[in-house]
Amino acid sequence: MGRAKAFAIVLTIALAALVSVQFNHRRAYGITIGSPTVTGIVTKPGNKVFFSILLNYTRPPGDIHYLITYDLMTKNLPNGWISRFYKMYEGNKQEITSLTIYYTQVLADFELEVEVPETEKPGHYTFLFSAENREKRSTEDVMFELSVDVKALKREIKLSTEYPDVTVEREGTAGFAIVLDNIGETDELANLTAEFPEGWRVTFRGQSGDIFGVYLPKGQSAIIQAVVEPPEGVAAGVYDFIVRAQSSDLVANSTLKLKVAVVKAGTAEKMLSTLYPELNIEGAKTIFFPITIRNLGASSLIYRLSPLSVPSGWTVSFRTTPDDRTSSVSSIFLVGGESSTLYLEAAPPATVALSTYTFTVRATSEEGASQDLTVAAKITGSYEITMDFDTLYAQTRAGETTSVIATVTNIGASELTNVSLDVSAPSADWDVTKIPTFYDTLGPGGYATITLMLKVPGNAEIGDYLIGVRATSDRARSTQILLRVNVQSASISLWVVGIAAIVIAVVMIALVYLKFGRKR
Amino acid sequence: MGEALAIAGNEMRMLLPSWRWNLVVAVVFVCVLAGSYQAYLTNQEQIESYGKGEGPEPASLAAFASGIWLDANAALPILAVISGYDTMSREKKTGGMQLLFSRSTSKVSIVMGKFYGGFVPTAIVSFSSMLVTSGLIVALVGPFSSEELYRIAAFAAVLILYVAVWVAISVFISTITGSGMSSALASLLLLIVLGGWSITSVAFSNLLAPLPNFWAGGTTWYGALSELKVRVDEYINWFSPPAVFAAGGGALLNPAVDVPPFVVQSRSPIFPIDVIETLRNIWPCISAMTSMLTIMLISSYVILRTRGIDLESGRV
Repeated sequence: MGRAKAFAIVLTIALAALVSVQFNHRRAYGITIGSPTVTGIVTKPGNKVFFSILLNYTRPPGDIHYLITYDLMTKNLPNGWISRFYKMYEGNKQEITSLTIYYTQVLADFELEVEVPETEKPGHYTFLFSAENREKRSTEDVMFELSVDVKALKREIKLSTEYPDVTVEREGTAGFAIVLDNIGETDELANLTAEFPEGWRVTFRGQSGDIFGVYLPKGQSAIIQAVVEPPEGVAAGVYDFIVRAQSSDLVANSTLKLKVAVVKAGTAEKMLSTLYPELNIEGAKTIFFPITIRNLGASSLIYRLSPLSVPSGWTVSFRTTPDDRTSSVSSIFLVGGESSTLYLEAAPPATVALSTYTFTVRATSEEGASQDLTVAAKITGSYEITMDFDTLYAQTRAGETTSVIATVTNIGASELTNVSLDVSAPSADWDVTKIPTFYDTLGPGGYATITLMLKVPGNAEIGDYLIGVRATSDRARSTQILLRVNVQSASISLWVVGIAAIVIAVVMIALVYLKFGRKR
Repeated sequence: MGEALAIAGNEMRMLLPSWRWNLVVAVVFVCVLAGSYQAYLTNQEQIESYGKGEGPEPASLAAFASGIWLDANAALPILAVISGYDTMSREKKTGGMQLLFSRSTSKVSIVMGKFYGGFVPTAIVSFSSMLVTSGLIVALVGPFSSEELYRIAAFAAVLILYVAVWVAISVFISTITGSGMSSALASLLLLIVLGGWSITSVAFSNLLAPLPNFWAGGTTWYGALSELKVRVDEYINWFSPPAVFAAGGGALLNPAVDVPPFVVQSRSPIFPIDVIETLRNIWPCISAMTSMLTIMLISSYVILRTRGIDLESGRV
């Protein structure tokens, strides 16, 4: 009995030791634990970032002469990025590629430098740091993930002027000293443009003459002279100008609003006028007519504004700017000889026919003088169609039919006719049925569904097929959408295989029961 | 070997007509049918989601994994326990063990015969349940690719090893307990405790390495305790057959899993992972289950050898 117990104890200890060694194979070698002080850094293109890394090496138990050499590297570093490793050695920063830890030390610290290219796009980039020991013992390798978030460089330029509003005689010119500051973090080449009333002329001048672009290193500024010349016979009033500076990629831009007041009226002067008496609009959109009201007299007056005739269903109001959605204007105060520009907002009804619509407004002064102005909006048609599927992936078997539902939407301003689907099947053997085949008409904003029945040929090979579908009409087509159809083998053969497997299982169990199911 | 097979044959003739065994076999196949139907419904939902650009691509292997999971993790281990829970205790009670000893039957033959008697029918039912699940998935969802078939074959081998471990555990418990009822209760309790090992292991590791809820990073003792907790959490799983099987079997049925949880990763993952690579990765799981099986059988043998027969009382 005693010998058996001793045998059992020895056997159990031996097995436990065997299992322990098998599962805890790290004990066969040392262990390295790598720890970065920082694992994620935020930077900008063109900068270098530094990760401080500490390797903590635990020698194998009992081995005092052990040393280990690591090859230091980065993996999965994005294209164009450069990494280097540095270690302080006798007070100097030395670039290194590998590292040896001797038995007398357990720690090694060094620095990983990563250089981000100037052309790198903003985003989150990850890569791996790896210290591989040359003896290829996996437990002594270290690998962990580091990340760099690249932020976009600030791009900003700013136009400003000390005197944005100037007065000019009818035959004179107005000059603006405009300062363009580059307050971003990159050099910029800014193009100069201007919006100005019809007939006026705007030129930009630098030190060397007329210019239309300015190169500005980061943090610097330039002074530009903008010269504004009115047309002949210009009416007295206040004219708005917009000067715009923008980089060629349109990322950095700035606008500056300027006003020029023409104080001596020309011959063609009116109390109420507009630069754009007729506008063409594609589709049912809100329209803004700029309207200038002038006080032709010498004394200050209040002018009342009112719509005289408006097409049925349309709503009109006067705004100080097109962006102003909160307040409308019904009267305006003007000093003698001055003018102001308001905007007549005309909003169409939900459904509007293609036609020309005229609007007449009236300005009446306190003294009873009034003038009418008629403007017109011509609504032209627009044809656009989009399509969407309830699913982009269908699964079926050879010889069977699958269906997907397409929703076709008219996002244009005009009615579409003969709306259908254009389907490009993988081969002529595929039977494609559309239910319904087409819609005669589809009104603006309307949508319709078409069920696409796809019958896969019985001899189709197993795999994925792509089917291109686009919505079509007489006047517009949508972009093509690819539908992925996964075809599996014919269902009958699959059922045969499945039932065969089940039959084998039943036979196996039945045989066992027949042989051993009864007590002897 | 002949003695062991004769004992195994007798054991199977006792086991197969018993109502407990047949009830659990019925439960196994109900789980197979319910799991396969649920897998079919999930596959249909996956197809719909995938068409809208969401979720993973539907695959027959994923449906198979979903269909077999309840069966493999719950029904088949219970069947294995039922197969072996009263093999030894019944013999003690009926005097059969005395008869075997008096015939000078070797104790290795007794242990192996009892083990084979429980393992063979359980393995056949396990394999059959996998065949039925595979057949239903092929018919309802679609065929398997050759790579998926290799993975299912490897999973079948791991599953049969796993049920063998549970048969061996129940034979061992039957050896050390006095009655079939106490053996069954102990085996099922062990199954429940080890089945919920994810909770138990955390409790153990917290007990062995208590850490405050707040973060007190930077101190040496906190780092050491954290390291200890991670290590305990990692290694303690190796004591649970369900945890080891779930890790290994899960990696076989999911090609997106590189290295199963708590297995030490020795190199960078390379996707897609083929079945050979997965088998290399889960080799610790397979060797752990083989070790458990061996330890249980040897322990049963050692106990049987050390106890002998008390001829006066007639008790073993």
